[in-house]
Amino acid sequence: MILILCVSLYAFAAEYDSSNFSSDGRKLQPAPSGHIPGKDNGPGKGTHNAGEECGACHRPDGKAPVVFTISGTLYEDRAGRKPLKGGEVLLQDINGNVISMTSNEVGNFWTYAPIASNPYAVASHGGMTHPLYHYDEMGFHPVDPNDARSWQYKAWVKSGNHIRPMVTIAPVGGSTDPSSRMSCSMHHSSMGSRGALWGTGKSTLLSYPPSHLSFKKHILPIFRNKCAPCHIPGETWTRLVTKSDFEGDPLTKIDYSKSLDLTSYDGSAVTANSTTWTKRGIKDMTAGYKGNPDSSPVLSKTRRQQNGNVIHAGGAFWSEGDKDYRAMRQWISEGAQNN
Amino acid sequence: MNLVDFAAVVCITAAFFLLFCVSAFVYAVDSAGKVLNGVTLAGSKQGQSVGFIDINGDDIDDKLVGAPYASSSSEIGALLVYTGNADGGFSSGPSTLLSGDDNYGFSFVNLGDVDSDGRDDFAVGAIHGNGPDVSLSGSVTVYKGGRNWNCDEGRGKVIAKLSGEGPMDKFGLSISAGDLNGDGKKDLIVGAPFNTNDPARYQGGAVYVYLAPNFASKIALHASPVNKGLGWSAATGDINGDSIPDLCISAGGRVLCYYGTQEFNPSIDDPNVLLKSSSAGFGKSLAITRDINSDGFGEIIIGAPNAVINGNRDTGSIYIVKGGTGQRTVDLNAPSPDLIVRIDGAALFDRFGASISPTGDVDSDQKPDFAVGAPMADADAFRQLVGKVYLFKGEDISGSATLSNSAAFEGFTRDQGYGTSLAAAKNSWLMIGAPRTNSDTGSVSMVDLSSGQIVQE
Repeated sequence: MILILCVSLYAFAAEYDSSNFSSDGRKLQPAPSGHIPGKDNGPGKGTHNAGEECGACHRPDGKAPVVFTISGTLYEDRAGRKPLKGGEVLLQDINGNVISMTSNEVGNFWTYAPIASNPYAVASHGGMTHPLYHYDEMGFHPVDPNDARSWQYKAWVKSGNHIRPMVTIAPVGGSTDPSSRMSCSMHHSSMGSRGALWGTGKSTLLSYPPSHLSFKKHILPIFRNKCAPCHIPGETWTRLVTKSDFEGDPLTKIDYSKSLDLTSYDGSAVTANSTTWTKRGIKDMTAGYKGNPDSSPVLSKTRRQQNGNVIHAGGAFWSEGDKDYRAMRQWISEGAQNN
Repeated sequence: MNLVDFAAVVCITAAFFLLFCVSAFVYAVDSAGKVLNGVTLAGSKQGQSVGFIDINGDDIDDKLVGAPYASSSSEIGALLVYTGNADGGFSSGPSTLLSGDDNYGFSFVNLGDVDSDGRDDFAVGAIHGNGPDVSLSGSVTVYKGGRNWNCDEGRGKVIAKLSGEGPMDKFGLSISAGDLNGDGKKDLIVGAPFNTNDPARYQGGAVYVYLAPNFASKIALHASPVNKGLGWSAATGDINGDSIPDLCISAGGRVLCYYGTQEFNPSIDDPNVLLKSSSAGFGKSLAITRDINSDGFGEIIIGAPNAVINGNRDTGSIYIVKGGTGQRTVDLNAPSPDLIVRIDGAALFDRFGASISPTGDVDSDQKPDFAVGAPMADADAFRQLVGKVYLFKGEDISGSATLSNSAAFEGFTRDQGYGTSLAAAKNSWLMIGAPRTNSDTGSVSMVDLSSGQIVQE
């Protein structure tokens, strides 16, 4: 009961903002509650091809007889060491309608629930694209910008009392072309370019020494496991923006890394379009907080605040008692050395 | 023996076990065949890797099956050992279970006898294993085979434990072996496809060549601005006729081959042979066979399991490219005299070419034969995504060869991933891994290629 109350408090700690569906703003919303988890699970057993791109077959005129509107595979951690059973993937549209899917024993989740993308999304690699498509019981058709279902979605991954907003830049579901659908596993699988779609607060390593922590042996794995999907080296500006962004400036781009390279201690130089700039590294988020490691940017931003809010757009990663948090805290208190 | 001597012996023995006898245990199988003394095999993907080696020193090869997602309270992954019998078969259940770092058993390779004790040795990959200086990088453990393995308690001696350079490099996702410097010992080639050596080439991958017999020195091939996507596959064999095995590696739509020499020390952007193709997934699997076209050189077989054929994605293809001497760049997007033949898969999403294994000369016609996996192929309406394996005989390979020039072996129930991994035994048997069987629990089966019969499921 206490756990349920805590979860409820977390869930209602911040108010749902139906006006904020910008790329940044939609990440900071509380996860919906009060629904039956898995209420929108697609029928069938679905225990095959975990980690594969489901949309390769489950698309209109695809090899599979049924079409998914969204699907993928959940893992315990970003490394994808084990699939996650019983995790929940949540979507909420601009009217507050909730879609809930739960993962089965191989981590798979899928739904037929009508979902469509933001009709004004712009693909980063192609500029303005074809109209986006909507799929429902009537089949495929271009999205209607006046249909709330075809507007934006916010999304979360939940496992027990661990809730993470999905820092998804791409529109959720739908496609610019009904014949080539995506699934979460396209980029987020154990072998995906962004690492697995992960849902638990499981510690990165089984254990850590109480002191004398090594950056490379103990700390860098944590950064790679929890921060690397977004805070990576290289050019990370994208034009895959939402309707809200688009209405402000059609050329809007966002840097989903926030100019941070948390795969390296010193950060890294980025060169694109004849311009070179530097991304800050782990050192910039941790060094200089030896006396008060909890106030370091990396820890203060990524733990839940006392009022229940989260500063970090990618959600809260830990509580102060978690192994990963304690290891980071200890290493920072030891001087945050590149040792 | 006085008390001091006795204590010393005890200490030395204990130290021996600590140093050389890593986590490997003798297990009993429960009645359901799914749990081995606390290790759950449901969802373990048995058959992700397969191979043969004499592990118990009885001069009979044993069957090894990787189960990289097997789980216990403290570990993920296992390698199951099925004891070989004098009649050519194997025990019905695993007799021994080896375990180690996370996702142990993802890859396996028989190294041959690298320590000159007359017994073949082997290596096992754990793609989320740890090293002495870096955690979660992936690791590969090299073991002594044969009698050295038993160690009275099913424990084994470790020749070397290798690890990646950075966390989540997935070091060990691919491993292969070949004597690249001609010293008579097979060297170990390890792929780490998510390695980042330069921030400008995030997750560009790496390939490492560890030199036998002790694997202490290595040659690292990191991604370059030109050659990225390293570490997904590699193959060794002699393609230039000098009797020293050569190395071919995948590089994101390219295949780079480096000739083996006594001073083997390749540079990533200076391959002896460069093969290029825009076929999707080109190079995801590789093999080198003995001479097929009777020109005196071995051939390179390249899998492109995501190739789009007639508009059907992931149908897959294989390319059989001639071996030869000298520097070559072969563009397979245009007709090329270096190409013997391209063979396409049968249908949408078959992923023909996802695995390739030389099988020796099954029909004794002095031509090498080989098997190709299509692990997503349908057999019929009731066995979708079951997977198939195609056996090609060398004598049937010409410029006009197609899939019809092969014998096909099918999986048994839907969604098996049959043909994900392949390993040829010494006796013309082929072990076929099907890691998606029964909701990713996985399975393997054995086919006698000479008779075309399934000899063990």
